[in-house]
Amino acid sequence: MRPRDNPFRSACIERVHYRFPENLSWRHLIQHLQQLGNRAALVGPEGSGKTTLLEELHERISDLGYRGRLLRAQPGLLSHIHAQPITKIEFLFLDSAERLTWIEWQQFKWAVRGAAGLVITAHRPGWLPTLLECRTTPELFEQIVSELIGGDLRDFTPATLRELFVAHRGNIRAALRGLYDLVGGANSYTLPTLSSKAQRRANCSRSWFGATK
Amino acid sequence: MSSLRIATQLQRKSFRPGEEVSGAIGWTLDKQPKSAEVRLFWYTAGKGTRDVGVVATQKFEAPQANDERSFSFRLPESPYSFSGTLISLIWAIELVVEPGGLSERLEITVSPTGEEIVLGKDALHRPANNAAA
Amino acid sequence: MLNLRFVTMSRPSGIPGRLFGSLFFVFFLGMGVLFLVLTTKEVVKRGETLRWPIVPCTIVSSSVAAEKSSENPFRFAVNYQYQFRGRSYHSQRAELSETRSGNYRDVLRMVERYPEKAQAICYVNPAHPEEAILQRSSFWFALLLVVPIPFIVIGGLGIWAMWQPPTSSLTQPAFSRTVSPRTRSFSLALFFSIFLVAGLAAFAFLVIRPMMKIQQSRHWLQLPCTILSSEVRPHHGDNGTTYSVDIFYQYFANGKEYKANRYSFLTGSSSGYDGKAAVVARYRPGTKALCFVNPADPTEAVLVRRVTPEMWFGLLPTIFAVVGVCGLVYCVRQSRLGKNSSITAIPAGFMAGAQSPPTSDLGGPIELKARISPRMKLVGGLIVALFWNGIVSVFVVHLINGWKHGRGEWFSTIFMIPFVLIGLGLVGFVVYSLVGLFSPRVKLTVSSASALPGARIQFNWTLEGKVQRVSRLQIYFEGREEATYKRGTDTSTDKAVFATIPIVDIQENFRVGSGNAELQVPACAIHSFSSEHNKIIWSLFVKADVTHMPDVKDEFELFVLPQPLAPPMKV
Repeated sequence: MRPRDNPFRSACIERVHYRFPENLSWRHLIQHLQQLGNRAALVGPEGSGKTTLLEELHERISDLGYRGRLLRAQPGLLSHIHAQPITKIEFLFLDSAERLTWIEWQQFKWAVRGAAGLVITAHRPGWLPTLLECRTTPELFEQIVSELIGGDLRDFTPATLRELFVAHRGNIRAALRGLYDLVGGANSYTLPTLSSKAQRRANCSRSWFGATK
Repeated sequence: MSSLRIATQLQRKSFRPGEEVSGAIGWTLDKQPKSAEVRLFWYTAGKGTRDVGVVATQKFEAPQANDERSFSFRLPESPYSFSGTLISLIWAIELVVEPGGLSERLEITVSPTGEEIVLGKDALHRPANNAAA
Repeated sequence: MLNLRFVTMSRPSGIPGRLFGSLFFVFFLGMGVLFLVLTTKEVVKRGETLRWPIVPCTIVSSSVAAEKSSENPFRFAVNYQYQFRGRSYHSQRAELSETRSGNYRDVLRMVERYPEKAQAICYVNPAHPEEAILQRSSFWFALLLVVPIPFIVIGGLGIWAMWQPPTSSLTQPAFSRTVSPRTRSFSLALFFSIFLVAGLAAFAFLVIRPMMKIQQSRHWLQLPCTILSSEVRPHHGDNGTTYSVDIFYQYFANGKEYKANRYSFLTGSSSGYDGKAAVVARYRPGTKALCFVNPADPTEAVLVRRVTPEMWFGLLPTIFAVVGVCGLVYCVRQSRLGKNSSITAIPAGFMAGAQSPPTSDLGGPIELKARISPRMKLVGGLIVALFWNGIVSVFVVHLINGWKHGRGEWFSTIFMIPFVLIGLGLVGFVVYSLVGLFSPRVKLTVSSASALPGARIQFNWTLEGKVQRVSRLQIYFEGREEATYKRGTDTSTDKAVFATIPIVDIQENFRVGSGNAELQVPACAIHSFSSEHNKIIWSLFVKADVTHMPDVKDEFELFVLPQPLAPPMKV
């Protein structure tokens, strides 16, 4: 299969939309954000959709009358902010805030104190009030795979997908990359191995992968 | 109802590097657009993050709500259209109309053979060359 | 449909790495600040004497007192009397600190300047009139305030840099960057300047100064002298005990008696007891000897005016000076390189990076570079290891001495552990680099670094080093894809080889040392390609199986060019 035809190529993975659980919607999310004073964090492990949700929120923020600015926690972040100062109508979205040191985080917060709002992503809570804790489930993974391959899961049994999901510790993005290699026929792909403890945990409790709330 | 159209001369989809790609574009819009342009570019698809290289752009002056124009580009020497295991490189012509970001894309193939080069299909495991030690 | 790209760079080093680095720079900063504080205190103290009023005084007594038990046995013993605000005072202080010296002549000159019954001036502390001095201390001392500044700057900048992310050009297009190492060069220049200054200063004191004195003493008079005392004097310090030759002798010049204790023009003490004991044995108390006396100043005399073996140790500091010079030259060159070059990616879709090939260069042999020279790795590692362990060893020896004498310091010991570990790591790296020096190295020369599909490239290879350990040599041409994508907060690059063309496979050791072969680029080979996240790379690999040592696998990138454009066709 050619890379351009592989349903799990980067462009397709990056276009996967964030899926809310049944009791949550964009309206609820934005309401909660406003209740938190427009300063909040999306929290969750790697590959749980934090960046996806952040980017989609960034696209929607203009509906609220703000101008969104998407940033990544990387070298030059503070220089960039000083070069292009934040205005009162700007709503900031910072991805991977955990990459900042404590000092950098304090400097960043001070530099953006005049912004209309700030939403960050982080692996752990504690940076800002938690807006949403992103989690993944095997069912969610199956849903995404089905969408990417156009609904025909013939080649992927639920057991296969679950095994892949568990092997990647719930990191859906990594699991989708693994599917690229399986579908593309790359010989080098092998399932990552889990420690026996992680394997027991995965087998014993489906609720380890809690639903997004 | 808006619609955009791109077509190359003789409906060609295969070209060789250095060749001229020409054709016609057209659009039917509800109201007069502010700008319209056609771009010749390549992009990658596959496991790696997409890269894009815009090679040439042709802007159209005073676009009307219903319009037909012609375009012409000279293809560069490289890159060729190819597909391997991780990367596909795809050439395309895209018409973009503003406001609204309406676009229409036509994919073409650019290579010395006129066909997409498939990596690994040829040039494998040649016998050892003469080695004088 | 431009790609929205956010500039991503490699993750900054973690907290532990930054802490270790900060510790290193805290050491510099601490040393500099401590020295600055101590020097400033002394300068301030000396400065206060500028406000003391000048008062006439009378020297009551003046002599050289010898106290053998002291480190500097000769003391200027003076007593003078003065009047201040209607009251009479006596003082025995010549300067702020006690006037002592290991050199008899230095104190004798003070006695000659302030002889008994002479009228002189003194400086009286108005707040405490009983406190007075005959002469103010030199203010050249204030120049020492400059010395700790590089340490403080390096330490401060280093700590700041540890916690400051490097700048990147978010506002510039991601595919073009201008590299400017001038700031980095300045910091390095400051660092190497310390080496240079320290090395030159030590060289000047240990070699130049004694040599100049030897030269000046050529016209001195050779006079008989009587040895009054001779011994090997120990000097107990933090680093252990050092020794010096201490010979006190008497001579007559111009009808006057003089005494001196200078043995040679090289002052100071050093380790090694036996050599000095042998010298002392030749000059027993009561025996006669010959000394050299300065006719212009008979107080200046010396027993030996030739180059002594200890003076050759004065050449050791030149290593520091050489390191400093080399480092400064490197910094100047790097700075010029930064001024004149900007690394700009060739328009995306062809090639980007350091090795841009000539577009139609098909001639001239080119030696391909595979990696950093192992010699440079070893030299660099050695310099850093010597510098680091040299400083750390001073403190370690002090700590060990402390523990040996029952004065162990737990906090200091624990504090030094990370520094010692780093030092050991550096030693390990040096050893590893040294071993690497003996691994076979590959030199590859090709007829051209770039070629069209279907073209032939001739190449020669040479293995240097322990070639006899090579059991198999393989050379092959490989094409691979590289695709980079985000994986959480990191990026990951996957590789897939799509073509492997064996060229050379030799299993007879006597044939592996050198040879030549030809590579034919496949006629339908895809051209080399490089964009930000996706690449097609063609390389020559040289793989050598080495017994009892790490195998060699070097990669030499070659560039496959696209076919030249055919004449345009009319459509």
